[in-house]
Amino acid sequence: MAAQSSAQVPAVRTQERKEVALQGALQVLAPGAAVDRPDTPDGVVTAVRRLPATPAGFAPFPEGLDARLLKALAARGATQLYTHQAEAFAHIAAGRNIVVTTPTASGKTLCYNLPVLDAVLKAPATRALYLFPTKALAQDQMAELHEIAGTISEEGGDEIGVHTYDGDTPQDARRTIRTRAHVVLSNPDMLHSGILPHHPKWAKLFENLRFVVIDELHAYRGVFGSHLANVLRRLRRVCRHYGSDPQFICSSATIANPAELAERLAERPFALVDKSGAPRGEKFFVFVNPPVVNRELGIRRSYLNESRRVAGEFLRRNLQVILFAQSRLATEILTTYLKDDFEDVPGMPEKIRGYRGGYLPLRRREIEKGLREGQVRGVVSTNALELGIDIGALDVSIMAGYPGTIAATWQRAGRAGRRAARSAAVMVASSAPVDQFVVRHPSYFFDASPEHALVNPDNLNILVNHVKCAAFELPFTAVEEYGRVNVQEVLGVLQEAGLVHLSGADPDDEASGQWHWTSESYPADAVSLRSVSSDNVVVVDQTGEPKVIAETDFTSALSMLHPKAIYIVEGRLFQVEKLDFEGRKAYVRSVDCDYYTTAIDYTKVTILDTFARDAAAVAHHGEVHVVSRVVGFKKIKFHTNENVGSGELDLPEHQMHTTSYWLEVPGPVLAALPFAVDDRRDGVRGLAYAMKNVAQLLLMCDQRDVGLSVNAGDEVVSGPAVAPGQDTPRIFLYDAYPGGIGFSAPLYGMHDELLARTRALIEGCECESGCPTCVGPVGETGPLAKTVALRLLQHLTAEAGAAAALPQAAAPALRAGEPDDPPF
Amino acid sequence: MASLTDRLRGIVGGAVPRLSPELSSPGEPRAPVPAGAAAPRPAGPGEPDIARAAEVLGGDVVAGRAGAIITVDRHYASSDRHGRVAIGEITDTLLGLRDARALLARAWPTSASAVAGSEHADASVGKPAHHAEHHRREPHSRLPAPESRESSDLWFLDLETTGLAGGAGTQAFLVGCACISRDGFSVRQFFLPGYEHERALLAEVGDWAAGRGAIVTFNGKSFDVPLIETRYLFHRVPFPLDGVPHVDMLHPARRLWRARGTLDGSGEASCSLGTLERRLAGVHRVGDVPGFEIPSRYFQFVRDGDARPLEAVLEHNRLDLVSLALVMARALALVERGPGAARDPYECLGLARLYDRVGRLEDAEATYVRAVERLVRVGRDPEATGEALRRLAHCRRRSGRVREAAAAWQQLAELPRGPAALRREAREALAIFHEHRAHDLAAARAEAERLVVEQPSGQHREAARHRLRRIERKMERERSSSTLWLEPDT
Repeated sequence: MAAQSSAQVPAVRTQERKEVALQGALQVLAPGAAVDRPDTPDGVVTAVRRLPATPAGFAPFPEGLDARLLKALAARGATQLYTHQAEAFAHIAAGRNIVVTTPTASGKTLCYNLPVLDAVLKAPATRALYLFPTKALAQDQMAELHEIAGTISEEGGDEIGVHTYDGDTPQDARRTIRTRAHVVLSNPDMLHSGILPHHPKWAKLFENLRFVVIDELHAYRGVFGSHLANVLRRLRRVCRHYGSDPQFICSSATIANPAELAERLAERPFALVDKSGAPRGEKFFVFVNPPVVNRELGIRRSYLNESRRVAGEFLRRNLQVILFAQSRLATEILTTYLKDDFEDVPGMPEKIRGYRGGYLPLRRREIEKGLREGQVRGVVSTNALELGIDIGALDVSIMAGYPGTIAATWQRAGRAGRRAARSAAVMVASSAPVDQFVVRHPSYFFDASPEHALVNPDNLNILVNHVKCAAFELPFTAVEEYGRVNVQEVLGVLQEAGLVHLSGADPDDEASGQWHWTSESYPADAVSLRSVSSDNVVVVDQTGEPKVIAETDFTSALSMLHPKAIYIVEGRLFQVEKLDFEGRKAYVRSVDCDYYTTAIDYTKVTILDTFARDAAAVAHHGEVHVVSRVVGFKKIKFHTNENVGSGELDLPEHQMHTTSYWLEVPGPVLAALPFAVDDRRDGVRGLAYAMKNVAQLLLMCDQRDVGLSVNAGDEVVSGPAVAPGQDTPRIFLYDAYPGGIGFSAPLYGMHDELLARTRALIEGCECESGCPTCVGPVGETGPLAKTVALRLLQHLTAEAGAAAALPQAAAPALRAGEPDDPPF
Repeated sequence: MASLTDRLRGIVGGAVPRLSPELSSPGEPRAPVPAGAAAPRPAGPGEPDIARAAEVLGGDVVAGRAGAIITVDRHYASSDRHGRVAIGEITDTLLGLRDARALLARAWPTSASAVAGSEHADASVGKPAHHAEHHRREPHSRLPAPESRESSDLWFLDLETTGLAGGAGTQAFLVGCACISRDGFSVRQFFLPGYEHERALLAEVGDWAAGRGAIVTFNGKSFDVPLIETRYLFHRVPFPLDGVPHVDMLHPARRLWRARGTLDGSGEASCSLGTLERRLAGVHRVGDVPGFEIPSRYFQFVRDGDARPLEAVLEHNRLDLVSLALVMARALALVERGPGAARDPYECLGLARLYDRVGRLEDAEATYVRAVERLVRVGRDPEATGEALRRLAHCRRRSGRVREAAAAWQQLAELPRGPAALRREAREALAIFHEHRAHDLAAARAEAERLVVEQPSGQHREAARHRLRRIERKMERERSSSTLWLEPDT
């Protein structure tokens, strides 16, 4: 909401004090000029950027806005709108779908609440469905909507029903919500398994559904986004059945392709609203790289300690700080550190709080309130506070570790900064390759566009599951279309499996007949929208009373929790005694030993089909078969990293078909290198290690989304792309999800950039012969890995340059819209 | 690379589940499922032939604009038997005992609007429902049907469905309805010969049910009624049973006939219609279809058009309807005739609880007393006996007769092999009674002492000690106040 009159005198004084404090802390962290300061990649502070303040842009309330709504807004202090809110309203009034991408705290929610409340007041039958990626966000938004709705009814307007509908909604409240709620706040999972399959009970909602609001749109990328696109296809089918055709209003953090993502998800044209009218105070953005403590091994000071130091500078000056950590564990460690530093007498209100998933809702609400009201001076959080939970605006946002994407980094930085006041954001890099790349190349972050969010709604595995759900919800007609595959053919295969049946077909009329669901099952139950990470393995410590000490996602369980593995929690060592794969439990016992373990996994990638290859036959894109298995483990001694033993394991194999980008090192290039065969192989592995990390950076994806496999050329593979007889090593970067989720095609398109950035990463690294930041730790990749990898890159990038001189077919652009499935 | 269909097959996996060979029709060529780039169309022989199916099932085709369905009528004459019981006995009971029925309805009040409430009555929102042309029926009245129907004002409903999951993709392919007729019991089954005919089925059911009064089901409150309501909503047709009174016999049946020995456990499994018909009337079904097999038989029919395996499903449904009537009749008879009609102490106890629930405390008390007597006589089930005594005590206390309640507690406290928790409750109640009502502190102390002795450890022992100390202090005070005059202080 805009233009609240809040220019009181004490506030000004507080603000002055804060400005002084902020300047003081920044001077300690990064002495010298804050403006026009050149980047210093080798320093501890690698960059300081000043983001200038922007003034507010106001617009009057639109003509014809419901008088009761106007009155309620006025009662809450809003007399005009920001320009983007007015622009959003105008688009909606013109019947367009919109996606709003303005910064955190710019009044994004009013962009959708204004048209929705206006429509409900004018026609009380109107219904709106809000989707949030988490339950907590829905709760948060409900609180805000309730307030406005409350003001409206106080001001003599009608009652507006606003309700959340999720797994926590009591059974007896559900019926009322189905028929009475004007605005239903839910999440995609609930829509998928609880609402759409029961649409007859929701007839009133679907008959009158005018708006679908999707908040935090950028959260729907990869698997989750591909699922959501299918859930929305089902939603539109159901709406058609009830004769409605809702408008979509989306809001997103800043990503490169918000409108495109919205169009891929909702399969509708979208107008983009991205010019914020909200004022923004000046902000300083500082990059900190912890100093090197062992140059040879490329070891830096712990980024957690460094983050603690940075946070301390601000907290000491009584500035309110949010510190983002990369994991729940890191959150707890940093909370402990800061409590040690700043919490005084026990029993006093806590000034430092932790915040993460797993805390009970009541506790979370209490912390959020403490932040808004100022008693909580510092909060250490996982990404749980990155999304739009209302905690007010703080003075400083510190990130312990690079958040992984440009978009998330801006989002987290946006947690600091009131409208008119100065604020600061600090990113403290860890020694992970991605962090090191970013911190040493600040312009990658500051000057490049943020990442593209990629989805692949036509991934066959995902699509087939949703076709089942859709058939359960409403029979398919014999001419109906769904997505970009031939759904009639999908239905034909489902019929072979007895899941659907085409009935009522007139042999003379191809268009007649309907595919009906012929199974007792409830297909939505078998589909999890977050399937890559929703399945967890819990770690049970049975040293004393059995207790759960940690959990890990299913895919990494095999490599981290195999029998005899050493599992580390907060510095304590545990040995895995048993992995109950079916029961999703690993049983561990506390041990005292001087080694840790690393799993030896064996991944074999076989090329099934090549869709595309570049002129030099280096970069490829195609379909592959991946077989992976943890076959054993190594025991590595602490500190010396000596290999002190190993063991074999017999664990289940994991197989899938997926899509992949791969790089083929031409035989002549490899042969021309003046190194031994083993060293060459090390070089290829080192190159692969670095490429994987850069790929992650370029794709805006989680490290688990992309798999890596190096085929040293000793496998006989069949396929049209293989040059016979040559020892051609291949580096596969594949979509780590059956069928592919849309990463490998863009990666193929970015091949040149991928190589150039990988080269920059390795060249820029200060280590002598390999470290975890570039080609991997020396102990694992061999002494010459770094040298050989660089030589390889020199050859490959030179060739790319030569090839670029040739007239070549346009490389596939980096687009979210690229289907990852081959053309049929 | 693999063709789309091959890739899809790899993802979908599995083949059509088949029934055991003896159930499938011999000599009938199965249509090979065509595959390939073109969308497969079912071969002609796969489409169910409705007329032939009607013949197989012994029913009639009812065709209209919305589609064609099969209705199957069966009549059970008064002289026919269901196990040991004559149909006429069931129908007479159902027709005669209206007071008892009212009592059941009061005990478990419900009406058939389980899903969306009266949303369709609310015309202010939403578009008018389409396809009202199927509803030829008059706006039905909720009054009992006219006497000319010569039946009762209730009817029985039981569905056979394509699954138990609920939701838009679960359908009722057979709607079994039954009512009491001139000289017996008449069942009409509405069978769906193909998914595309569902509108017709719903319209026919609506017509049939109009004006027939209250619905009787077994577990219909949570299953049959919401499911069929969803079907109407799915087709955006008003639910004709909206607001119709509904008696779900599952709840009274559980109260009356929960399995022996597990009086406080969940006797759900052992309170199935199958168990009840065996216990109440000695019915033993021969060649009955197991419930889990029913959906797959229908799916197979949809695929191959052979209705023969469904004959047993229809029979299963008919027997369920007759058994439902039987269960209701038995329940009404018990309620009407009182504890004397109970065949065993458990039925007697169940009946007492039923009276208790509707607030007929006098009947409840008398029936509890009978149940206790009979249980004690049998003497094999101290748990049930204890339960009965506890309920008797509570029932008496609620009618304000604390002394009589104490007598029941006393009997429970002294019950040989009685459950420890119940004995403790009884002693506590007795201690309270003696302390606060009878003002007999010595007796209260005696109970409290027994309580302490009987509690091995833990919080109950602590509570008992606390109680004992308090009573002793009270006695002390009373003693000192009464001796004050005799022994003045210093």
